[in-house]
Amino acid sequence: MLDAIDRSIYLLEQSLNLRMARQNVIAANLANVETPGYRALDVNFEEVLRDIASRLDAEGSPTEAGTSLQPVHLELRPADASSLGNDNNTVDLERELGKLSENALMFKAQALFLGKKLAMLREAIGSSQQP
Amino acid sequence: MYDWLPIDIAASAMAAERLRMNALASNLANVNSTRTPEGGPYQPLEVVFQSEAPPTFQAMLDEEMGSFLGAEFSPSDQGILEGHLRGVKAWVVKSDCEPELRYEPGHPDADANGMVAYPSISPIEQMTNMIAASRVYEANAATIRMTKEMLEEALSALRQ
Repeated sequence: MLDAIDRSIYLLEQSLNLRMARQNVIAANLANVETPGYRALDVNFEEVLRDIASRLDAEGSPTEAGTSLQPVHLELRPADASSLGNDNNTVDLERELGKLSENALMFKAQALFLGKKLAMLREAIGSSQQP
Repeated sequence: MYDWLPIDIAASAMAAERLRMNALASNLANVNSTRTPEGGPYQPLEVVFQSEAPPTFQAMLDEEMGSFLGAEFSPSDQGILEGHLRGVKAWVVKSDCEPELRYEPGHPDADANGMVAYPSISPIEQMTNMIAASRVYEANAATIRMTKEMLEEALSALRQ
């Protein structure tokens, strides 16, 4: 039981970290919407998260696996250059705004889940203390 | 930590757009200015954008606290992001475009041929740039708002 909770908390934590990293990338793209020659960036957070999840499935809980978990390799890469303006800027304002909303919403949902998980643990601890 | 970085990045862009708005306002106000303290007609202002690493609070803190905290406090996989993510910096330059000559012999600044040098500013161009500037400003305000909501939600995990 604790295994399952531990694992999902670990996964949520990693996911929140990755979402925050992605938020940084989106913010940088949005800030440079008007900068000539700026190339839009993206981050491979989905792959990294899938990698972590599959490794968790393979190795059991993160506490058992200990340090055998490989560190997360986050990579910046150029985003799909769908719009190339006269100034060689590849930031797509609408697409970045969409990613921004999606990312924030998913982060909030996951933070909410994490809160609920912690509340569950707290509940379990509390009820065991009662006579 | 890079949790505050989106806010720093978006703030740099908002500052840049505000500077651009100031320059545009100055250009629009001086559409008909034929005199300046330096002499000659008003020279239109242009704003140049360049991407640049934003001066983060954390970076300043790290710099100050570096001697107290060891290197083990710098998170490893966040360095990848911080080197490459850029805010934006803008500065104003005077455009060197030729003034526009109009034939107005009665004008006090007219030359011997009756031509007056006006700054060559297209109000329509300035207005379109203004709309673009305010849209980018809004987009970056959205970044700050969203990031703030995210962090609030993360904090609320403690509250439940």
